[in-house]
Formats: sequence, structure tokens, C-alpha cells
Amino acid sequence: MDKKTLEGWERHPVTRRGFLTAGAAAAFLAACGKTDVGPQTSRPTGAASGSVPDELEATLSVYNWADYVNPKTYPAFEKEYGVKLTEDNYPSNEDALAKLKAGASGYDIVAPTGYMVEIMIAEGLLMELDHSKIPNLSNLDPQFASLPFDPGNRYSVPKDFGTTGFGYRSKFVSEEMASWEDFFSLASKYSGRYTVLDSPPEVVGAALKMLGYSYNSVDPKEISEATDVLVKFKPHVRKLTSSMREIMISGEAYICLTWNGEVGYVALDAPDAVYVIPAEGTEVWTDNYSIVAGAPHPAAAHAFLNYSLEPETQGRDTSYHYYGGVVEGEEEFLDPKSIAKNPSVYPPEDVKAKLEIAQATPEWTRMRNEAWTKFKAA
Amino acid sequence: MGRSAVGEPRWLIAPALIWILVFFVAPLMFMVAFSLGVNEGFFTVKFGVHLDQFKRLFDPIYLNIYKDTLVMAGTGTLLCLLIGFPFAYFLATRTSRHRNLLFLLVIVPFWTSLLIRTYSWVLILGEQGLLSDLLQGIGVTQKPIDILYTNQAVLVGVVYDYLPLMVFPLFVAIDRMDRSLIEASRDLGSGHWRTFRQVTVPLVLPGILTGCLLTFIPMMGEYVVPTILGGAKSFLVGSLVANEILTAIDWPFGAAVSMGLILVMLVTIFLYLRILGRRAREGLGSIF
Amino acid sequence: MTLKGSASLELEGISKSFGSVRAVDHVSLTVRPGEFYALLGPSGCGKTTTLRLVAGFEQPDEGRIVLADEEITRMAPNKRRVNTVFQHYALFPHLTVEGNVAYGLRHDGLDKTTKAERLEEALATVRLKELRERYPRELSGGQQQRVALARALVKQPQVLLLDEPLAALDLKLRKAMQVQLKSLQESVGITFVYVTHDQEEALTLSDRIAVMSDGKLLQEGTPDEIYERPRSRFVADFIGQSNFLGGSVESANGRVAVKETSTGATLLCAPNPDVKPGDPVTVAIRPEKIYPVGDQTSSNVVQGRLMSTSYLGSFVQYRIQVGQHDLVMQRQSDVDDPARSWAVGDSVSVGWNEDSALVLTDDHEVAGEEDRRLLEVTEHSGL
Repeated sequence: MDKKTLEGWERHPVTRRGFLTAGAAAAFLAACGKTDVGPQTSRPTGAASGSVPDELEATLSVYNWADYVNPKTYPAFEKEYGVKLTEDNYPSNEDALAKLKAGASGYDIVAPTGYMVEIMIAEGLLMELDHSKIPNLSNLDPQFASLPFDPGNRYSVPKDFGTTGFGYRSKFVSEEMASWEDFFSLASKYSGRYTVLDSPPEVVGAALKMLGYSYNSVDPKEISEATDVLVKFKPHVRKLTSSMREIMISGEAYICLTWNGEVGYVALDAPDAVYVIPAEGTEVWTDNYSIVAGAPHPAAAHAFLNYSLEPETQGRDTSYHYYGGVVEGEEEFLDPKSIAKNPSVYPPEDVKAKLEIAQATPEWTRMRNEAWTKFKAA
Repeated sequence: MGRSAVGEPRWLIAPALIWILVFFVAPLMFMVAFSLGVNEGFFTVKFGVHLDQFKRLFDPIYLNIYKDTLVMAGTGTLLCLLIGFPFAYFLATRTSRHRNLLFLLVIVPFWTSLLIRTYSWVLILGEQGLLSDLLQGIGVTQKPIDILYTNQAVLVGVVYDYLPLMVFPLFVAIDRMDRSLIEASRDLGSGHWRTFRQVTVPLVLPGILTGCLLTFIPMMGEYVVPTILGGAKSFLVGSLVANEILTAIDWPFGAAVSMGLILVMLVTIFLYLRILGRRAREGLGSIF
Repeated sequence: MTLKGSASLELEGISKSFGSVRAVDHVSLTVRPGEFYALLGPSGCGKTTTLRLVAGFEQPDEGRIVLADEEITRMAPNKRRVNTVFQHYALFPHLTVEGNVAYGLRHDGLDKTTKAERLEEALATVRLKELRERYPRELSGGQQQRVALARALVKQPQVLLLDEPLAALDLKLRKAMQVQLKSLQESVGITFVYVTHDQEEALTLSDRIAVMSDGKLLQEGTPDEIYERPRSRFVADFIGQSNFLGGSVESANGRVAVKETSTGATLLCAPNPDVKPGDPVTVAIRPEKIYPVGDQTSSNVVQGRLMSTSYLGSFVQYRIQVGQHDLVMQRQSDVDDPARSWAVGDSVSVGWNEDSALVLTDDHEVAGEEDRRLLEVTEHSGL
């Protein structure tokens, strides 16, 4: 840890944004899209954006979730832009944050989830974008533009979206599972056959939703109840992991708390795998591409962000990872086309209405981390 | 240039000293500073002299994690001793040719990455793993056995990983022991077991203590094995530190948890030195 | 310490091999109750292995070991009523003198008083009462040796086995300890089996000696039997010194006449019923049995040239070349001795009594390769 970084923390106090109101149900689904964003919007640019050169650098370093891009996408980008791209992976938002905070340098692009974009902005880890270099922002589906965690997309562009629900193998689970209630109540029956994400907000959020509370609750009593649910649930959990694909496919685990695309992947090998968006509602999230503050290759990074918003790129990636695209016109690039009708990739409107987007505050984060530690230690 | 009593120039220790200062003392000071700070906002550390983190440590949740870790490390150390002692004894009583070969067998796994060695146990311990297949094959069990992602699996992993650290000091101690003392004891009327208790154990005690120290301390801080083999069941101090640093991004508390770990280790080393010191005064000295 | 009952020890055809090396080769011997019995031989002759077989640290491949009429061949060492004084004492470093001596009493099922009495008695016997709190490393070699003795004696063994117990001590202390050991053995009356490579020590201490070489027992007898009537060239050479002259038997009626090979002279020797005319034999004559001869009246007289004279304090050693042989003659350093007037290079005559010349059958088969080499070396050096 160098001195500069330590001072950096002191110099950037957390910005409290007025829009971070808890329980903003279906925030982006209903309300968003009203803000008109895009290259045509005249808005002050950040300090960094003015310095983005026109000429692309020769290389680009992407810090991304593992296996989160169609293997054809990077080569296609490299060919089109003449940039050599390298990728490093992280298993969770928190892990990426910890590494970047600890001073991991050399990365140009990172792919945080919405709430983590918020945190990374507050931590001064992201570069303000130069929208003039990202004309494809205009392709953005209005419902994914200018989301509350980053109004005006000043620091991030959406990459894809998904939900946090659960999957199960109907071959092993006789019940038809439909809710968080089902998920938690069947734990003793299928003890030892559960895996859950190794990530605090999703797991604590699941318990909160089951109890009928907001995904973003910061009420100590509600958090405490959710913690009790999790502590009781814990003995039945086999593994805490964000990569449950193999053990779900092998049948070592039957039920997994995870994101929709992971179950989509499992279903390729185990067709009896079912993804459930729980009836109580759950989290909907977007993952986003941001440029790391101090990125060594800002021009290439902007080019990559712009490329990621091409309908063809989006369609190709969705066809691979089964997470929904965020631009208009991607449907025609889906393969197979039926993905467009897959309700776990593109939830129907009535389901959408029950979804919440995570909104991080220091308190929100602290409460989830404390509950998480109790869960882990249980 | 100053010269010490034996006539060696003192600056010879400079590289070691610088090494220790840069890679040990400095990070430790950072840890102390962090542990006395508090998190503000999302994850901004405010330094100062705050005891909040240490107060938090006394929460039963965290004390319990320390307790679980002590139990795991203690059991693991004991198992290492129980497995390592006969092996070291066997090794020490072989002719030198066989001994070298056997030593190689102990050392070779160390040339492989810890991560790979630990992951290989996933293949063995899983319910579709080799162990389960074997036990079913020879009819010990009917159903697949599944000890992967349990504390037993963690014990298997740590014992496997740290066994050599137990075997080496034990081997040295047993090898150095005058074998005629065992014969003397037998000659004076003691059977194998009494001889072992009254002669062998007291004489190789420094080796036993060193082996226990060398295995217990890394087991206390173990992170990799519980993470890979412990699944959801095993949450130890090492995992707590990792969780606080990597997931909760609560560095002050992570640092405080580490300080607790350092305290446990200091106590262990203190006890070790005390026992050996007493023996040294009795003239049975020496760590090995 | 009083004699509680010493016992006899019998070895019947004991053999023990380590890999391809036969360490002990069909050894049979009998140790009588209360006897001080020495196993004597050069290093590697099997004497220590023999002792370890008796102690129970090794198991014989064949043969029987009988202690006080009870067979103990396969008995565990801790069950045998024999105790050992180890070569390097093998004192327990973690125990005090008292702890070491009391170690063997711990589990003997004795009551506390008896234990204490036995301990005190043992400490007193070896005069260690004042040092009882010391640790072995705080003791001198001689003191350690006494602790080792006390530790074994406290068990009141039927036979005490001693493995070169004095080898680690310096010469002066060794002499003193020899005297103490002997008187101790006489006072406790326990049977001692004493392993040593030091022939002088064996002669001084023992009631009887067994000479071993190459795993075999060559000769068993009292010190004077062994010295005066060695039955093989090895024994004659290993115990004291001998001059060896090769030859063949001319006649063997009572006295044996041997025709010496290099000079063709006939030597009259002591009777030996085992030889017949024509046998190749070795004639052994002790250096001190040779004397200067003025006239040639005596039957065994040879002429030679004086090669060297060595004054060794109480005696003088003369090296005389006779034919191809170097004879060694040893005389008391007496100024009146006629040999004192000899000068190197003089032609001299020496002789010996017929009874002093022993006829030994060739025992090269008995002696091993290494021993044979040793013999050749001694032959050339004239000893």
C-alpha cells in the first residue's frame, strides 16, 4: 500500500447522492430512460475525458468476470480496431473492488455491477467517460440508460442485465419451486445440496425478499431477521461459490442461488435445470463497463465501450452467456432467435414489476457485510 | 567497520536486516495502523487510535471463529504428530540409501503448487471421487460417502499439506537420539511402550515441539485449504481475514482480526520457547 | 551389595548373520556362576554381537541361550535377568544420577522401602551418593561409568554384561577402574561377561577368557592356559606376542620335532597329540622365553645377527635376524644380562626351552581374510 493511495482515501470523502432512496422499486424499469443520454447531449465533461486522445493505443487490458464474453467478441474487436486485448478475471464485485483499491494497476476496463459502480465512483476508482468517443450510447435501450447508480452514464455503460434468483435440477428436486419461500423451506430436505453465491448483497437480499422486505432494506430489525434465516439455512449449504456450474451439472448440488445466465449455462448440459425468478421478487442488476481511473489506454478503452454497445456485439454475447442485452436491435443477432422469448433472460412485464435494483450506501454495505460474516461463521 | 567478537564484519547482517524491515516490520506496522482505524463512508479508512475493531473482536461470533480455528489447528497438529512420528521413526532407522529415497517421497509433493495439491483432494474426497468409489468398491459402504466440503476434508487437507513440516524436525530429533538408550531402557526392564514414554518421548521432545510449532502456526492462519475443501462448512480465522479484506473491504477490522491471530501465534511461540528454555537449563537444550 | 544368586550362562551353537556377513558363527560356551568371563577379540570378531544376543537386543539365527537352566533364546530383553553396561554407558541424559539408577526399579513391582534401599545400596557401592542430583553430562567419564554400573547392578541381575566398559577412559583411569571392577565383582559375586579387545585387560580381570575371531570362538580357558598354551596362531599372536617359524613335522613321538623351512634346522617343541609327521605347522615362541646362549649346549639354539635393540624401561627388546625370520627376544632390563653387551650387527646365539616352543597347526582357515593380513603385518614387523 503506497502513501499516495492512503492519502487518496482521505481526499475523496464519500459523495452522498440524493437519489439513493431505499426501496425504489423497479427504478430503472419504469422511471428510467427519461434522461436523454448520448453523444448529442451537451453536458460538461469530466477532467479525464478531455484528455482522451483520438489515436487508439496498441493494447487494452480488461478486468472482467470469468467467461462473461463470447469467445468471438474479443478477436472481432481486435481485428476491427487493431488493438491487442488481454483479460484478467475476478469472481465477485467485492474482489474486484479490493484489488483495485489495493492499487492493482494496468487495467483499463472493469465490469462492475450497478451498486459497485456507485461504490467505485465514490472511491475514485473510475474515469469519467468522454461520450464523444462512445456514439453507440444512442443504441442503449432507454430503460437501461442513466440508471440511478450512475445518472447520465458519466462513469459506466451497461453491458448486460440479469436477475438474482435460483436454479434447481428438476431431476433431483421433485417439488416445483417458485419462490424464495420454497428455496429456504426445502433446505432441510435437500440439505447439503445447496450452493449460494459467495457475495453478500445477493444472499442477504434473498432472505430479505423472502421475509417480504425490500432488497435494499437498511432497517436493523429486518436485517437481523434476515440474518436469522440465513444462519438457520447455513448448515444445509454445500459451498459458497460464484462458479457453481460444474457441481450443478454433475448433480453434486441440486439447488443454487445464482444469476439467471449461470443456470442458462447449466441447462446446456443438464436440460432439467430450471431458473426461477422468485415470486416475492428479487434483484435485477446490470453489469457495466467502466474505465479504471488512470487507465493506461483510455482511447482503446473508449473504443471498446463503444464496440460493446453494438447490437451485433450484444446479440452475440447474449447468445453465449444468456444474460439479456441492453441495446435496441440486438434481437436480430440472437442465436437461436428463441432466446428473445426466454423469460429467464428477458422477464415478462409482470415479473419485472417486482424486481429491485441494488442501491449501495455505506450503511447498506456495512449491514450486509456483518450479516454475511454471521452467515459464513454459522 | 565494526567487528563482532568472532571477527566477522557486522554489515554482513545488513541484507537480512533490510529484508526484515521492509518485508516484515513495515507491513506489520501498516497492520497495526489499520487495526487502530475505522471505516468511513463506503470503504475509506480513517486512521487514528480507535479501539472499535478490537471491541468487535470480542463478539461471540468472532471468538467462536477463533475457537473453531484453534480446534482445527490443534486437531490437525495432533494428527500430523500421530502420523508423522511413526513415519519419522521409520525414516530415521533406515539405512541411508533407503532413507534418501523416502525423504524424496516426502519432499517431491512440495515441488508441486499447494493449490494444485489441494485441488487434487477435491477429486479424491468428492462423492464421485476416488475415496468414495474405493470404499464402495471394497464394500465398506453402500452409499457414496461425501466428506468433501466438511471439516474432516479440511483436516485431511491441512494434515497432508503440513505433514512434512512435522516429519523433518521429528526425523532430526529421532536420528540424533542415541539408539542405545532405547536398548538400555529395554535392558532395565521396560517394555516397548514404557521405553517410548519414558525415554524416546522425553528425548525427542524438542523435535516434537518444533514439529508442532511448525504445523500449528500455519494451520492457524490457513486460508487456502478451508476455502477449497471446506466449502460452506469451514470458516476459520484465515477465511475471516480474507472475507474482511476482500469481500467486506473492512480493512481495519481485517487488520484487527490478523492482530488477534498474531497474538495467538506469539503465545504459542512463547510457550514453546519456555518449555525449551527450561530444558536448555537442564542441559537438554537445542531446538532440534 | 550382596550376592542374591549368580547364575550360569550357556550358549549352544549360536549363529547370527547380518545380511551376508556371519557375525557369530556356531559359538558354544559356558559361563560358570560367579565367574568373571571375558569375550576377547579384535573389533568385528563378533564378541559384541554375542553379548547383544545374550542381552536380547538381537535374535540368533540358530542355537540356544540358557540362563540358569532356563532357555532365554527368544525372550524379550526386558524379561531377561541380565543387565548390560554399555560401551558408551547409554545413560539417560534427561535423568539425574539417581533417576538413572532408579530407572530399572520403577516397574519391578517392589515396595517403596525396598526400592529406596536398593537405590541407596547401589549408589553406595559405586560411591555416587554425593552426585545423585547431577545430570550425566555433569559427570566425568569415570563417574558416568560408575553410574552405568550402579544402574545395572541395582537390578540384581543373574549375569552382568559389560561391553568394553573401560574403553572410553584414559589409560590411568582405566587401570584404576580395572581394579575397582574386579573387587566389585568379587564382592557382589555376580557372573560378569566382559567384552574387550584389550588382551591385557582380559588377562588381568578374568577368571576365564574366550578368544573370538571372525565370528568363531577359537579358544576358551583361564588366562594362563590361553597365554601359555594357545591352540592357534591367531590366539598366540593376539594374546601377548609370539615369534612364528614355519616348518613341517619330522616326528611326533612325545616331543615334536619340526624342520624349520628357511634354515632347515630341526626345532624340538612341546608335545602336541594333534600332529603327525609331514604336517605343515607353525612354531610359536614367546619373546620372553628366548634367552641368549653362550655355548651351543642347548638343543634349540639358533644363530643370527642383532638388528636392533629397544630399551623399554622394565625390559629390553632385541630383534635378531635368523635366516629369513626376525626373532624378537625380550629380557628383563638387568645390567648383568649377557645380551646387554651386544652391539647391533653382532652375530649372536639365542635359544629356548623345548616346552616354550608350541606347535600350532595351520589355522588360516579359521582366521579370516582381514586377520590373515594382520598376521602378515605382524610377521613382517617382527613381533
